[in-house]
Amino acid sequence: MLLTLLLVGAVSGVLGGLILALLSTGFNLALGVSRVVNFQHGAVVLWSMYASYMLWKATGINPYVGLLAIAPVAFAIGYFLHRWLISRSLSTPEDSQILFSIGLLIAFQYLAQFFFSTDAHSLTEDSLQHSLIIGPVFLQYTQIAAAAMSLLVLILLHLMLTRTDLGRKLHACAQNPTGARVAGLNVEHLSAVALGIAAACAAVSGTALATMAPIFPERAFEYSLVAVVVSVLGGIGSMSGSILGGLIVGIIIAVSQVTGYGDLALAIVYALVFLIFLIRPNGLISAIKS
Amino acid sequence: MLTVENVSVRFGGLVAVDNISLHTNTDSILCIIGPNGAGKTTLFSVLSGFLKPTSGRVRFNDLEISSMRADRVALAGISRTFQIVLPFRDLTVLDNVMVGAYARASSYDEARERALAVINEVGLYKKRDFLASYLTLPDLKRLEVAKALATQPAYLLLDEVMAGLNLPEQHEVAAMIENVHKRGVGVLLVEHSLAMVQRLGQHVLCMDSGRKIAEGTAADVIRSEAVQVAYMGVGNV
Amino acid sequence: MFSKLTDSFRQQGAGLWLIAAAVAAAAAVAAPWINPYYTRVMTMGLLCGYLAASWNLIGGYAGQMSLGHALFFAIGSYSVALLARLQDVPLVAALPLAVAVSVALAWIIASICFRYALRGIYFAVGTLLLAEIARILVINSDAMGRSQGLQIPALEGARNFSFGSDLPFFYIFLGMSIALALGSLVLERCKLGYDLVALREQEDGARALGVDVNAIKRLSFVISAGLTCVGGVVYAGLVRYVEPGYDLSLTITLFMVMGAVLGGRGTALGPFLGGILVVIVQETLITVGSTFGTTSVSALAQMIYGLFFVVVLLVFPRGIIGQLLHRRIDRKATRPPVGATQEV
Repeated sequence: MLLTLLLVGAVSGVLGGLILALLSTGFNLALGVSRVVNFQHGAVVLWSMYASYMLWKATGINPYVGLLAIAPVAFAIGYFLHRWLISRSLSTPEDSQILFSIGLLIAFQYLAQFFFSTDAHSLTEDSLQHSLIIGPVFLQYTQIAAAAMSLLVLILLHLMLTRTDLGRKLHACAQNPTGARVAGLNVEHLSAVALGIAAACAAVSGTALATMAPIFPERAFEYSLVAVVVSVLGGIGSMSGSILGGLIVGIIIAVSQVTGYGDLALAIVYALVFLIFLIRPNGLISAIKS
Repeated sequence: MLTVENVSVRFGGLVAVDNISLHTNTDSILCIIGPNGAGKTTLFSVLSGFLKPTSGRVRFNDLEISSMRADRVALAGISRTFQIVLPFRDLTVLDNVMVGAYARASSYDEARERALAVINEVGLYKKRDFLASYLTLPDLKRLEVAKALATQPAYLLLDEVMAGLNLPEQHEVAAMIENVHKRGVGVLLVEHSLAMVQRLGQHVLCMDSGRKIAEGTAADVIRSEAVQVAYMGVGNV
Repeated sequence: MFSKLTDSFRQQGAGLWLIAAAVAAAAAVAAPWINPYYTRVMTMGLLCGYLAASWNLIGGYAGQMSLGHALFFAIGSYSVALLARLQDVPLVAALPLAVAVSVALAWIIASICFRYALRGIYFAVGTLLLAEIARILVINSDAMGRSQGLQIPALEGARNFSFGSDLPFFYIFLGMSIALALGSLVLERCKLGYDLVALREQEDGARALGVDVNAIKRLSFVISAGLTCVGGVVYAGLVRYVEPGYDLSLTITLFMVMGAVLGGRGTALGPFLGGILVVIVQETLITVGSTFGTTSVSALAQMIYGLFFVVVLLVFPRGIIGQLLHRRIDRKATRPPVGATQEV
């Protein structure tokens, strides 16, 4: 029945949407704080997937536990990537900057291909290979765990941004970088921190995605584009926007898949986002707030 | 002849321009003065097509320009400069002015000739091959005027062209404006400098909070009580 | 026309153009005699240069970074393939049809985008999304050959660009490149050229001088799309195979964009130099990689290619020729003024 299908799609979509929300939130945060479009974000997700896989293959530990090791490393990589490399691109004309990060995306993607080849790898952790059946709804533990983990990190991130000193400083940079500098904030350092957080979020998303789908290098571009799309849909620089955008995109993709239009799912999402670009470039969250 | 009929501009609840009417032609230079936030630049934006009036009309000879797009207004013969200058930074002075010259010229040679003539008129001939990003502020102001002049306007709208210049520089620019006016170009000036208003203002209009509070010769307006209170702070303790 | 060119040469220096002419002449003479592999590389280099110069109209002169130009390239190549397969339509007849479709689509896209004031990153990602939508649709269409793409049937005759060798394509692309280079140079001094750079630098300032910003942006986008489409048509004649993974991908768009950026956006010669360099670097990396045999090393080559973008953007933010021209104007400005006799 159509209603059952839609229900399944909606539930699956919300779960998937949370994962997409986390994937995009980091990117969105970095964009808001540093005004840099980090198109290489998808490659960071890809590398996290490989890192998770390698760690799990070598040690057999649950990949979510392995995150305790991977996430800090990801943070450091993101921090120094901004500090040492990306900050140098800030003096180039504004729209050249996206080319710079596309170059990084290509470089990181093919580096991954060099080490891991184009063969797909699958992270099939035994503890997650169960399914949950509630009425007509059929869910994999991998989905549930991934969504739960994403939700946890989103909550932690929200708490950090609203309750800590660091959060307030990041907010200040996003609002007015010049003003922040005048007030004594080290904007370069804070921008790098934002990218570090983005990389750590990418690590969590990557681990989650690795448990759910095969890993291969071509997905990097797709992840980057999804991050951009969700961020703009929801609202640049807005965390609640990323969550809203992620949920909407997740539901559209899931519903498309259960109703048989799965292949066109992304095209539908892109078309929707293009419309948003035209009529509400500030994203849906600003439309809702006003 | 340029006529403003009961023009008002409202941004939501804020009334930036409140029922302004005025009438000017190419015979006398019109100076618009008033405190900051009086709505002078907003009025200029309406005259040049960058803003649509919420109500009222603007007429240029027989043409109704209230709903015309900015570029069409410029082509119709009303050219403006901006308070914060907008040069084409990566182009030379000559190329900057060529853009304006091409508005009317029908060939490259004609545009170039016109551009060079205007550049000479404003005193930038020696720097015609300089990149605009290297010019000093007085020269940027000259460039701003040159670009507008190159379009061969019937009316030139100068928005605080003296801002940031010291008195000798202001008098140089005033002399340039007088020469342009002598050529038959109508001039409207938004100005703060009283010295310049007294030198140039044959017809002066004072605005405050969007409304017209005085109009007449420079002497009349400066002496009027309303202007003394609103603009010069007389009577404010 | 003549004074436009003399003024351009005086400002930019005829030197670069003389060098370019000499290189083009030498290549034209040498082409039949050298190893066909090198001819092929030069041909692809000229194609890339031509595509970069086409993109340059909207991306360089107008300053609007379109990341969706693959769409128009693919309309060109796919039109040849589809019309040949369905109706035995010769390439030269497919050309005007493809251009008409590209121009119409570009007109619609530009009208929408510029009417809603899409600029900067929004325009870049917006055009990218449109190209991606097209790519997804093609991948899911049997008629368009899905991901495998389409083989162009071997139709005979010059009207199908079936020449028996690749050499004529070198001359075709050389001719197209020379025409576009000179066309761009003349454009720089026409009203359209001035209007484009004015709106790139300062939109409101341009409007105040009578420039219909949206119409001019649209015009340059449409011309750029048409030219790119022609490149796609000729490309299809050369490789005789079309596939979405290349023709409709960010890969081909990046060739165009990086070619223009590396050579110099907003210059007439820059994109050609950039395009040729991009192809030479790619080819060199692939050749070096393949001597090591394994596909994983060619991945390393691609990685270096990506880093190449990064380095280029840091070292030559204006592009090679853009930087040279800028320095030339700089030097002119700081020298004592010559011929100041027109002062009153």
